[in-house]
Amino acid sequence: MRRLLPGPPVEVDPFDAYRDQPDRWLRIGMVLSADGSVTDRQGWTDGLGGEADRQVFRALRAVCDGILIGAATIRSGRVGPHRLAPGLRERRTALGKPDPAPMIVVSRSLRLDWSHRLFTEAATPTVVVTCAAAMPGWPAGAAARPLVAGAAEVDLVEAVGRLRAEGLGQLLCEGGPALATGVLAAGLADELCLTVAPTLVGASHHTRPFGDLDRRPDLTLTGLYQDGGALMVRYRPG
Amino acid sequence: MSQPSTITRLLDQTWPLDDDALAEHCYPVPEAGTPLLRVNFVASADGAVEVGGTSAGLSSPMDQRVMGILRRQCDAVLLGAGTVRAEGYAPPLLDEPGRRWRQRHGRPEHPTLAVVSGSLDLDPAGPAFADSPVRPVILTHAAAPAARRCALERVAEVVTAGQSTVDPAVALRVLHARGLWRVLSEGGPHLLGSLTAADLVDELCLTVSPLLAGAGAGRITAGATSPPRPLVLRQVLAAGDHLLLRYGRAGGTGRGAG
Repeated sequence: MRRLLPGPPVEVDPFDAYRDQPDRWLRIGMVLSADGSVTDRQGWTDGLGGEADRQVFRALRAVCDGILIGAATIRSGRVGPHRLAPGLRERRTALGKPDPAPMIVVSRSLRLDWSHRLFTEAATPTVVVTCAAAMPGWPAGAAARPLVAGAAEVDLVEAVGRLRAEGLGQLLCEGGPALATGVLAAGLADELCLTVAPTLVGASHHTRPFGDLDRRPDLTLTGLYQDGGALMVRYRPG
Repeated sequence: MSQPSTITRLLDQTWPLDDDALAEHCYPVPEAGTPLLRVNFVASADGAVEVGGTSAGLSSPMDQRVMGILRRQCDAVLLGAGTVRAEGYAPPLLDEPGRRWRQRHGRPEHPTLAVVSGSLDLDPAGPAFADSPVRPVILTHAAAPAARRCALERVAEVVTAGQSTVDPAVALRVLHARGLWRVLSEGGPHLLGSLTAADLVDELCLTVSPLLAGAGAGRITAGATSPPRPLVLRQVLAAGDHLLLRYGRAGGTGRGAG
């Protein structure tokens, strides 16, 4: 892909473009259509951005310590265990991160399909962030590790603090919209990595990326890449 | 990033752009006789088309500047009736330098205002019509309220483009037949939704404003169900934290390519 900003324009590798980040950093990585929807007409996100977005998606995962996703995103059935692409494994190891980043599922209710491959086939055990009130429902023998943050609701600030205390300092939130909104509203997002897909999906398929956000943070444009019709935009909030 | 008053072109080269360079190099239009439907919108980084009910909260000096350049190059500015009501369109649509540019380039001093309205819920005494230097065109359908049509015919040319709804393809042909080949639509979302559904959009100029609008905000397309329309990214301009994108139709006829 081509880096447009900061200039001058130059070809860059996605891994290199996203590799450098502070020790404690939380990115939101999402793709949206040119008309502002994070889902296509089938309701999925992964077809929107094409190969350019998939490369950035893999790079963002390869450079982070943990991948935050909302429980609803798992229920979509399109999320599998995190596998590093062969070319990225060595490069990740060179960053001092030998194992693939764990998936970190945020679930208030723990109503999850515990037989999902995300749990049973994870190379690095999946973490489930939940609240104390839900813990009596934690299934015996679940192939995941609980992380309790909050009494009756998940406290995202506490959860991120605990993850950082465990050494998972560089986090990537992949959404969905509810979790991404929660992360933004809690002031936890250090960076937005948005892919603008070159498609008008049309009105009846719209899903807002941050649909419940009741603030209107200003953004600073910190980076811009282009690959074919896809634009990868980096912003700092606030 | 660069100073927000400076617009730089990113995809091919990088240089600060004056208005003539923007018009000629960044937003070229075909000669008269070749149709172009160009759509211009401002959206937030999370894809919202408005903040607090209008686009004003998303707009910026750069966006206004590009809007002026797009208007000076078009033959007609095409709007939905809701946008005329919500955004308070008042002539002239172009400032003095823009009008001079048109005269230098052999164009009529003012682009024609064209409004799509099925209900004809438009105020004939409102500034968009009463103060217009060029007789506006209103595109409606055969079943529109006759009394309203009669009232509006005093201030505008009211044309039937469809039986019970406005057919956007017919509406465009009506404009082309009047020599209005290069059409700039500035919204609103319902109009873009119907233009998208009919696959009429040749070019999308999208300014991405550096903020998140969050809850409740609409998108640039609304209303009509449409198959997804793939686009090609033709141009990226940056002005401070604002991005000015230009998309063309993917795999299309080449209209609007440039």
